[in-house]
Amino acid sequence: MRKLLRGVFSFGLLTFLLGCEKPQLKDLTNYTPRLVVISNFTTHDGIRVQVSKSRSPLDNGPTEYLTNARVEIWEEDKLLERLIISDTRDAKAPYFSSEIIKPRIGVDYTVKVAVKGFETVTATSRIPERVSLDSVVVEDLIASTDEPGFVRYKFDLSIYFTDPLAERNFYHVNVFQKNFLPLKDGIDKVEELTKLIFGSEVNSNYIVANYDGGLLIDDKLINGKSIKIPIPIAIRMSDHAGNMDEMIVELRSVSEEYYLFHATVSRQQGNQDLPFSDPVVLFNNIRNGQGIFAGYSQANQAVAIKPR
Amino acid sequence: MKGKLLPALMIIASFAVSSLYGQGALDRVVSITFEDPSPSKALLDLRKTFDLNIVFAENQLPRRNNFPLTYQRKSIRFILDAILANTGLVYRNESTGIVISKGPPAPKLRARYTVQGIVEISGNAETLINANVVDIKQKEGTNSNEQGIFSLSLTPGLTQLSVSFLGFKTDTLHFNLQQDTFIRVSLLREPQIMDAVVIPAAQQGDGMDFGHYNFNMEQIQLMPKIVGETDLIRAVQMLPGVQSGPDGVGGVFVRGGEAGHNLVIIDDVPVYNFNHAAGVLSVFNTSIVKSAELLKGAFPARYAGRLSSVLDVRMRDGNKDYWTASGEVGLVSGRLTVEGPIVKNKSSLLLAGRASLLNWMLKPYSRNFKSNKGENGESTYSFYDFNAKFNLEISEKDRLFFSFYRGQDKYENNGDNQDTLNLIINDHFGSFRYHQIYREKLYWTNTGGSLRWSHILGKKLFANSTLTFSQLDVNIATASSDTVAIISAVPAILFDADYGNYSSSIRDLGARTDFHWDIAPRNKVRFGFRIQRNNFVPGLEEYDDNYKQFVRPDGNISRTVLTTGWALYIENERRFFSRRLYCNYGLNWSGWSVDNRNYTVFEPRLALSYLLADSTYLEASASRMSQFLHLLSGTNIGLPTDLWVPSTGQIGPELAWQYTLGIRRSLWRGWNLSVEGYYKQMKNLVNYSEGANFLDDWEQNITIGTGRAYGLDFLLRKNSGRINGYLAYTLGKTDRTFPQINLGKTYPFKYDHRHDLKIWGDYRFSPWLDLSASWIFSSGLAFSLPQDAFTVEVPGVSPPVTVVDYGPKNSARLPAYHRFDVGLNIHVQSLHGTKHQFQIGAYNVYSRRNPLYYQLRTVYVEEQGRLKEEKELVGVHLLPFLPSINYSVKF
Repeated sequence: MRKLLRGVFSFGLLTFLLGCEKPQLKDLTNYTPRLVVISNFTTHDGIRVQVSKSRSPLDNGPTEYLTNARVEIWEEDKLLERLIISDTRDAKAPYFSSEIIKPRIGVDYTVKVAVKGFETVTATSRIPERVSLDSVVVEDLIASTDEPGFVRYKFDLSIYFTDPLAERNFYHVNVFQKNFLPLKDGIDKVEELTKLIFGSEVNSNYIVANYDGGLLIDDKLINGKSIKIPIPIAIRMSDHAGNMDEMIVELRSVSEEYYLFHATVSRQQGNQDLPFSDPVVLFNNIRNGQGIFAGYSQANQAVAIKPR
Repeated sequence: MKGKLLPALMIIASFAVSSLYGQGALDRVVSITFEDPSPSKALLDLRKTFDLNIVFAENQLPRRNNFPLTYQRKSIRFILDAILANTGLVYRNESTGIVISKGPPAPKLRARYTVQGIVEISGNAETLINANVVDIKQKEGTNSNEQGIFSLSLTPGLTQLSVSFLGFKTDTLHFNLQQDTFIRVSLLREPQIMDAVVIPAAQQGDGMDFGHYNFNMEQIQLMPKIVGETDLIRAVQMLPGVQSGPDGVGGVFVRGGEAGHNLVIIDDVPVYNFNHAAGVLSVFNTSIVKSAELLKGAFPARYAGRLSSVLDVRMRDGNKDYWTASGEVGLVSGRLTVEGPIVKNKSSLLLAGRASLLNWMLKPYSRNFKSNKGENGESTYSFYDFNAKFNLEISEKDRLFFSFYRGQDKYENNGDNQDTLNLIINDHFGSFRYHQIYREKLYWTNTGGSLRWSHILGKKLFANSTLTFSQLDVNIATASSDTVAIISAVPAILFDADYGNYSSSIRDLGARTDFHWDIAPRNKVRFGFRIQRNNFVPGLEEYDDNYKQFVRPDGNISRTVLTTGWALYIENERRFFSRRLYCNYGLNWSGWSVDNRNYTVFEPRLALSYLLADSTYLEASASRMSQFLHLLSGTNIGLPTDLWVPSTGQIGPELAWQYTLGIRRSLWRGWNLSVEGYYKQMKNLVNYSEGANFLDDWEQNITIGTGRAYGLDFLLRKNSGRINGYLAYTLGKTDRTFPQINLGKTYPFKYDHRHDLKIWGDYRFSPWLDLSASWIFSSGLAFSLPQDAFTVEVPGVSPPVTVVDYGPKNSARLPAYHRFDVGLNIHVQSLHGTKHQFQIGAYNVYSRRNPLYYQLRTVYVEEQGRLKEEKELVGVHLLPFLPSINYSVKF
């Protein structure tokens, strides 16, 4: 029996020693910055890449953009183009852009970014197949008078599209309101696009309000089905311009990394003011660095708010 | 010839001396010790020692009989009963003396008779749960059940029944068992109960442990107190395998389980939020708790509904003999208990109340604090508990119990401030007078009650039928307004107000019947059923729409969910191989109906304990548990806003398998050691998706995942002598995997304490003075430390936003938690019997700054005349060194 007890104690001691944990709080002041690469690319715009350096979470200073980076786009083992820096004289946020590449759907592109003093970073993404909008319809339009010269409209903007079967799809739906604002002489008009920004109350596991506007959608629950997204809208317009105003819907078919990055950034932005909230873990597809390199394709359709 | 003559001679002799003897000879009280168990020698000794004329025929007596050899102050009748037990001989008092002869033919005895009874406390008739009842001769035993009732099936004959309970004098009853018998046993308290301190106390006498702990409430009183309060949950948190949340948060996390994985019941009523004062205290008023048992593994089939643990708390019934009162006052609360008989020895009533006394400190402090900030206002916090219990003994077989509980916490914070600002805006000078008002209110209320009918159906069959009600309401209300008056040639007033209201509730109506069938001392069966109806209003948010009307938010956030749950169970407790092997096996079959969907779960249970050698037990168990209720926490600390939600059409029940293997041994001089390993696999765990919070539509923002926990619990305890106490250590690991958390990758659970050590000791200087101290060490909580910050700005498209990368979830550790508490207990009893207890103590003696959490905060500093924004990682610490004083009195 004593042997048994000795065995139990020895086992206990061994497990205690093996059970030691990681060290405690890291010293945040000994911070080593990493490269940050941000790029969303599609078929018609070429590829734009912004390069900056990360900073300590305790550093509240301005972003330091890196204009001396070597930014290359590769297709498998083939270097397609070395991007050049945009005109930085007035730009607060300079970026690198391609002049030759016209990205194609379904092709894997790799970005390589090298800056002296930093670890070289890479990331790969592709532009997914475009999904067309079936229709965009203004439904249940109710107009009511507001103060003189203005009309208040309430309606549902219903967006219809068909999610392709047998593949995982992700979307970013943007809605823009195209206003025609009269100039001072009342004759000429100027176009203005306003992007619809949703509150985080629309969030669910598979729909996230993007921090910069629009909705990010994971097709897990809708795979292969015809989808209707009703968006309730209430707007106030000048009555003489209302006849011309229209809504523009942009349906982006986005890569998974696009969806995950923007969804996690949006959730973090929506949550940062809540006390005691658990932090949101960011998605990142930049190896050795931070950020996102992700492709998307898009389809647009416009609809007049009032039938013309 | 000899055989015929002897009876004749005996008759003649007895007639001759009959006039000399009266009935008084049998009632004479004597003390005697016999040399050996020979009836004839014993009778001769009696005759010789006390000059008694005892007439008997030696050839009718057996050579030996099994009777006690020593008698202290017993009657001759008692001694003769013992000597002649099972011999078929009787005695009668004749004028000639005490004549022993063959009795009439004995009725045909059954193989076994049932001794049924109830164990109570002498003086107040409070029933005792889990009292040991053992027949010393036959070495058969049992325990009293939740109503203090026991049943023991024994062979007929002289019976020596020993009834014992920790802290009480053991009572031994001698009787000749010839028929089914009902007895009432009243145990006297030990005058010095502290001589046998042990917390936790293992179940006595039945050779099993399995990590089940029975708390003795009187002994918990000795532990160091926090702010002068004795607390049951604090004692639970001192056990191995039980983790607590950080200071000021509370919560109980058992073997890698979640806060909502613990079934807490008081008189069969589930308690959905047992915290007071943000987890510093619990809702259990220790002065009215009779018993508390924690089970963290090897669950018997009668318990179901949570994955990780069961805390079964029973309220005292109240004093049936006389009216009595007790009171206690500490730094933060005062309590009063009154109890007494309605009909003496038949029914009793117990009323207890506790109320916080915090506001006398908090109000002036908060007023002063706000005043220094230029505000008028104050913060208040209060809580109360009210308990009532009524019990009625309708007959020897029927008892009725009614218990009720209500408790509430209420926090309010309000203030207003106003000032005049003179500013230059766009080269124009302007004066603005502003007035800000805010009101915040948070309260949560627990209400529960039960009505139980306890009935003895037969000699071996008991039944308890119970109706239960439980409700938890949480409400948060906020209101704020800003008024700005522009003082100019064209004056204007701008007004903005914001109102919000959040509430949630869970209501539970239940009925259950439990049967307890003592088939034989080594064979007990429990079976029963339960049905419950729940009503959930998981969240309701009301916003004032421009102060015109209240509107409900869209979606299901305030959807009321109605559910029906049921369960059937059967368990069998058996002993084999000369009681060396203890076995409890059973099955619980649970069901849940919601949203036109029905779930059913089979939960097999098995617990084995084998006596390897002298007081060394090897124990193993396997249990499957399920729960249809889920506790969602929208914060990284436990708050009352944590939401109880049901399994719905979309969410199945949470499931867990737990396996344990352990060894337990009594060592030397009262030392005991137990080591138990556990492995727990959890499925269908429910959590908020990352980034969601309690204001979101919960059904759309939850994620279903898995969890795993494994480890070793060590407990070394000493329960005799002047020094009592224990050392509890747990080495554990637990993790979680959810698709919508940490990008679907496995991460450490927040309460993944690798090491958890608790030491508690009590040194008794004298019957009136003892010193109690405890030290706790625990590895730091897992948390997400900010690692990187960067700017996200899609070139030419989106505005820049700053994001923070925390790395993988919970990849960092807070500093280790440790704390030393001490308390000096002084016990005084007046000549009139009034008991006084003082405790002077300190919590967190060396004022360890144990962090509650770390937060990235923005602070503003002045640099060269300009305001600059800076970030810093701020640790929030609560509960530094806290002295305490507590006084209790019992009349």
